[in-house]
Amino acid sequence: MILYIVRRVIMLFPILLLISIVSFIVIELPPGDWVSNYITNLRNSGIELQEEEAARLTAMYGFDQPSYVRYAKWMQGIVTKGDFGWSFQWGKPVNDILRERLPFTILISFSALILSWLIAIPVGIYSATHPYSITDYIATILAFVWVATPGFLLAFVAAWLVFHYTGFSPLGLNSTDFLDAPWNTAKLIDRIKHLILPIVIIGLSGTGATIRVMRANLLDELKKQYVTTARSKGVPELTILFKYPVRIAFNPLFSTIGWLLPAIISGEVIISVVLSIPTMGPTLLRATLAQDMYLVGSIVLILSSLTVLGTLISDIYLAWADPRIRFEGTGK
Amino acid sequence: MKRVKLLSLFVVLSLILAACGGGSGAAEESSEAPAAAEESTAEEAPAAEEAPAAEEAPAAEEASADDGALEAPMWVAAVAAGDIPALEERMPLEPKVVGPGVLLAEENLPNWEAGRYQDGSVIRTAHSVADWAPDVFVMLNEPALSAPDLGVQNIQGNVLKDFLVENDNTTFTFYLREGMKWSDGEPVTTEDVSFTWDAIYGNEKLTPGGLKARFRVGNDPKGDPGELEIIDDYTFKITYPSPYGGFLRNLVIEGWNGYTELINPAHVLKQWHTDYTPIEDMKAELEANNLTDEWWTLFGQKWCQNWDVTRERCTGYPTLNPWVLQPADSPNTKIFERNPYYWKVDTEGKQLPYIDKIISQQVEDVEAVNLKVLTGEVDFLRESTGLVKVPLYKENEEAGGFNTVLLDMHVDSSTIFLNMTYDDPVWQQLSQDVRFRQALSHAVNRDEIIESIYYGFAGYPVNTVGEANSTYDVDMANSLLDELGMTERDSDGFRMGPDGNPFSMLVEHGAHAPDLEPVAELLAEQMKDVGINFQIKRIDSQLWGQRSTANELQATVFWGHDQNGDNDRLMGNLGLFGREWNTWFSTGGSEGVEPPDWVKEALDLNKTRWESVAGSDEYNTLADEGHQWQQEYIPQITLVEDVKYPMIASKKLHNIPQGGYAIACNFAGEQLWYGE
Repeated sequence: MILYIVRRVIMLFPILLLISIVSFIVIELPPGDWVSNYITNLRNSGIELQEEEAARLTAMYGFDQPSYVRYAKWMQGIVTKGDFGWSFQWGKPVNDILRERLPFTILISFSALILSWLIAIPVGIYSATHPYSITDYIATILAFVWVATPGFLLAFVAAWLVFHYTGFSPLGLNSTDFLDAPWNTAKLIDRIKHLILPIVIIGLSGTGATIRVMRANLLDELKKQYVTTARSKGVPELTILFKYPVRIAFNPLFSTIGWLLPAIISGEVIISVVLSIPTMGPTLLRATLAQDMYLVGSIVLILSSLTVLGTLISDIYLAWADPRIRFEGTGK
Repeated sequence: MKRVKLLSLFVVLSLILAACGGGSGAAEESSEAPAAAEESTAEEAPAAEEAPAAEEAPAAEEASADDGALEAPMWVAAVAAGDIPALEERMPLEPKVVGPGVLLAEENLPNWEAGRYQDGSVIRTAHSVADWAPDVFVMLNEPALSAPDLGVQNIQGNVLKDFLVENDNTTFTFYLREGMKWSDGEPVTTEDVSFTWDAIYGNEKLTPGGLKARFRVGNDPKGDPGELEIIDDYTFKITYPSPYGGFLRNLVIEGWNGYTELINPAHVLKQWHTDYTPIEDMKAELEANNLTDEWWTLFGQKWCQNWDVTRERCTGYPTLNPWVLQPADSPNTKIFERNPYYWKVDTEGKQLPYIDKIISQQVEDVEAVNLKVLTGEVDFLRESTGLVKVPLYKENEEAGGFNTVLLDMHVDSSTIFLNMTYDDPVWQQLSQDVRFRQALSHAVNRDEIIESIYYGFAGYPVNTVGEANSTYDVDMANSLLDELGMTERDSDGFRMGPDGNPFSMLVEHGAHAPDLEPVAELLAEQMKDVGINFQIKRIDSQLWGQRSTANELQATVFWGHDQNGDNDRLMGNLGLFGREWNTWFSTGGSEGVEPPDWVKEALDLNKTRWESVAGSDEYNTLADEGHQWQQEYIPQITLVEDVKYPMIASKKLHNIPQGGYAIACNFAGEQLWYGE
């Protein structure tokens, strides 16, 4: 087991290095760079920058250096100091932006995930234990509708409904009138009111699929012989259910931790844009459009690393939780 | 009102989804609006006032009692508390007096009123670009000199008190306002000017190209540079070897320039400049920014030029603007508070601005900005509005408590540019023939464009194309094209080129403005009627820029800048209608292709105009000659002029103009005030 983990961890390093190089190449690919983008932007607002200002910016931000030099500098900062570089677009270090937005993004995504599981797992179990009943059909239909409904559409409709019935505009983090107010109870309540909708929408967007996965897995397990055997021996139904089949049905859920980790960090991009909440998703989107290269590179790098790390964690978890995998893994 | 609001919300949402359909429903329900309006304002109002008032309530009551005060209630309180010096010490000896016709021409704002302070007053707005609030930037910006309505007529002092032009437009003496202070209370002196000139423009690392074009004769990057001479603490002189009257133009707002072209806070910037601070002292900060000895990068990150002032990194940076950026606890909120040292007063001697704060909220999508307009969460908005939304605005005016003011757009929208130096002999022969350009202009059904894309809020290009050539005349277009030898047609009815080969023009555009794409699509249809294969292709706006620079664009649609006639006719446009000619011009003839005589004529005209003093009779005559030149040669085919632009302003805001450029009102933000 330990050997297995060590081997997997060592394999991480070349993968991460490759990821960092690919991230950097990807952001270098589109035509132009941040300076040309910035100048286009200013020009669209009517500010005519002269050539020498462009030259100054290019030199100032180091765009006159070849890309491998910039890559080396960027990596050096990350490896030696944990410094992800400078965001041109925001005019401050990438670390500051991550610090501002990450905790908030994690809060929303994590709450949404918990909410999603709280709904999906019981419903999935219920559906599987009462297959082809009226309630199962209802749950199935709802789940399919959920799977088929794009989250952003749900966000639109929900925002509209909230506005309709309460007259409260749920967009953003705070009502405009509280923006300048010092923190007090009223502002906190206002903030919480603004958070409910994103959490519910993002949470629900994954719920349908989870219900389906849970139901299918559990249904497979319930048909297996060990369940029949246990039943014939008179083990109480609930004990059978939760002691073996449910645990095994969790495996596919946990094996997706690899994708969950980056999803928690990135936040749902389109939903966040629609509801105007400042998670990492819209930040990445903006940065990509503006060719804010170190910010894009850092986020892509972090997300990819988390995917790799998450896959590792889920593999380790599965090896620990499911002896069958463990024994295969060590090549018994 | 709720139902109307939510229906409009729904309309916007469906617009975002590009699925129209809720519009008619919204119109039907609007009759309920007035009845429900009061109820909702009553609901929202207490919440709005509660928060900011909580802390400052006692001071506010005391202050607002004194109505004749010459400074805002919050400063009365701050002076009493000893936080800032008294008003006389904060103001220059001779402040700039704002009255009728000073910031905006009287014809555009006939009923200018001296305003009143209102404690806690806020202009709420919104922006959708990261760390860039264009509406606020415009409201904050202060050029060195100014002229009403963004023009160049009647140039007067602004940040600089006054100027004197001598010796045949070669010597310019400027006077600073004695006693003027930066927003941190430090005095503004000629040291700030010499620092800018020597330490910034004179430093190779900070300004690789040397002195900017605007400080060179003829606004030409290769022109002879000016020389700065400091007379005393408040007087300096810039001298040019030959006449350069247009220099004044380069110090007014044109091109959105600001006082930072000439004056920067030396007392702050010195700490990041190696001429004043040894690099060892910067080590800590350099290291924190992952730099080793690139002090110029650090300097660049600290230095805030006029358009930087809404950026978070400029919080606390000393400026001369009416409002200054405050730290905010949310990265998506920008709060600007009045500058205690602001140097303008109204006719009654009250220090401007009238309004305490500007708050701009960043939303993740430009449509969400418009949603805020409908729900009444915005008091002022110009940058993100659109003509296409005017019906929606109008419908929600009462409920949202705002007015939709239709003013002029400051650029000419949508112009067809033919790159006459595009590398194709047949194309060059055709496009350089004025008859070809006339034919295209006659083939444009401008009425259709005005109706369907500008909703009737635009006019014919009488200045730039002239009446004769802007008429819709298919027969005339056809006969001109026949004359050019394009008589043969292919099986689809498209004309062949004069050489007998199939002819098509590829029009690549970057969708820089929302009207460009629909205009291009309509043009393609209209050109088909005269047998021109007008192919449109939308490309990334940066790729567009690269292709343009590389002479790879054959034709494009873009905006023009010539409506005033006194703008620089060639600088922006020559690159689009003759890239190689532009290269020839900007390299002094060493590269590119020598332009024909008719282009040189304009270049000469331009040069002479730069020599004359902007706004003088001589200058205005030359500007008229420029218009005539343009109508004669149609270097670019302008489609419409006088496009209107909607501006959203709270019904309570005063000194909102009824005419002129929409953006001019932003530039006059300091004279806005809230009435009942």
